[in-house]
Amino acid sequence: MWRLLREGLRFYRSVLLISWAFAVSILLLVLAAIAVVGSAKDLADLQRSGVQLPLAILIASMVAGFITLGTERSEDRLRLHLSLPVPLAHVALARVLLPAVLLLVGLLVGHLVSAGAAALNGSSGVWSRHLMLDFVAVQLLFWLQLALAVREIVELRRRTGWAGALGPKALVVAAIALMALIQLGPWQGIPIRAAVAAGLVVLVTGFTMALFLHRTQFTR
Amino acid sequence: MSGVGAFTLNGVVKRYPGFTLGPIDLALDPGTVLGFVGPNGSGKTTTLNCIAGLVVPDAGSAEVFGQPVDHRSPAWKADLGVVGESHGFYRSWTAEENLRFLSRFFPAWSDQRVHGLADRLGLPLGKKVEHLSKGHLAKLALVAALGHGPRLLLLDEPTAGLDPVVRAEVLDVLWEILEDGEHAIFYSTHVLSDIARLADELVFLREGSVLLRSAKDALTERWARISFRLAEADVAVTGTVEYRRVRAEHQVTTADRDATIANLRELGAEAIEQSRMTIDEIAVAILKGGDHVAAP
Repeated sequence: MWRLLREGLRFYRSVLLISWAFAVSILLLVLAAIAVVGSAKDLADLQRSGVQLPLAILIASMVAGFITLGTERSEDRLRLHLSLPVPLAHVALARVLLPAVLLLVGLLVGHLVSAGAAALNGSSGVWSRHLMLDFVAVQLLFWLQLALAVREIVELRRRTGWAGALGPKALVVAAIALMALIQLGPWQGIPIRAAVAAGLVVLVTGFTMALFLHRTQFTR
Repeated sequence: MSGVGAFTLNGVVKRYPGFTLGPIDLALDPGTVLGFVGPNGSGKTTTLNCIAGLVVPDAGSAEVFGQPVDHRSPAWKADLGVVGESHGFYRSWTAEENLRFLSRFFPAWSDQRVHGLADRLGLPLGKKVEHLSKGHLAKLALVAALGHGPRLLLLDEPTAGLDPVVRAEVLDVLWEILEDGEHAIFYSTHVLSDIARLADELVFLREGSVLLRSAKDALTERWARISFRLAEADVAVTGTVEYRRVRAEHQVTTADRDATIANLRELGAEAIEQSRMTIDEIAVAILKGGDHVAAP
């Protein structure tokens, strides 16, 4: 499984780096626009907050994750992976972990950038920034994993018809509602929200894997 | 059948809305090439996918060299090479990088074998997959399927859309692989001339059911077109699957040449002439005729 994941990361690392480069370029353009159009105070406030660059890297990593999902599907990678003498559970795990790991690499780099910015600026509230970054990352990861779950439901529907996929569809709707509640509900503090959201991501990932392992058709 | 079969399908059934494959019982001995013939939508690819583990049957089971086709213990894949309509290669990697990727998963992978085959087929290993022509892609798929030295090769339309030169090259390689007598090939194709060259046996599939399995030589030996003259307007002749009358001459297609000729002599037919049929013609007659044609 790790070999499969490592090979996937080797293939998509350029996608991740290009996504980061795009994100940083766009951020610099936005900052330049603010410097020209806005006031010096606007720019100073933005720089002081120290979250733009880590967030840009995180979002770019999510985009790379979605590109990964699309490419794996369009190139029919499953076909190649299923020709290998690897248990199906390992293929399933590598499939869900590949986009997740890209996002987590982005999170790690985001934390490093955030810590570096804090050290340079000597600004306060460093831990709350890190926690906020974690919370955002977990939410982005949720949408990545949900995309995989939806794909499995589409496969299930193809096999069993509309009614057969009703239960899994309801679970996906419930997961989305729960995520909305985590974001908007009367919760106190980011850590608890991040922890509950992380739990939800694990559940969605497990659900996706279960659907994959129960497939009876692995062709498009 | 002696010893362990290259593959066996035991009562395999796969149901789709509006189509059911099987039940299929099929086995292949090592050292044999089995041609799989049928019209579009007859279930050829689904059958191959059941052996390759890409489709899980609703009933029945599949084995490769005695090992069950089961994704929980994928040891059977070490003995299996598959060339299908889709391959799943990393398109922005070179052919070489894709082969290196595969080599990391197969303990029996041989770079020497792979490079020998690539040279033999003129495959540009340094080219990115996205820049390979259809012919080169087919060659890469074949090299990739053979890299780990599988004893069973499943080929699903491997020469579809290829020009005659590339097709001949691919067939030459398959022919060489068979020389050791240990490899088995299950070959599904519409190009019957490929099968005419390679196959030892043929299986005819229509609407999800096996119509007939026969040795290729037995088919070409038994099937024939026979013309004759006979005073009677309508005749029922043994072994015939098609009949037509052109003025005074009767013409039949027979699946049992000897029996038909013996019967015609008994009936007092004159000017009996027979011509051999090609595999293409026999296949068309069988697939058009269905069960009643396959039965003799």
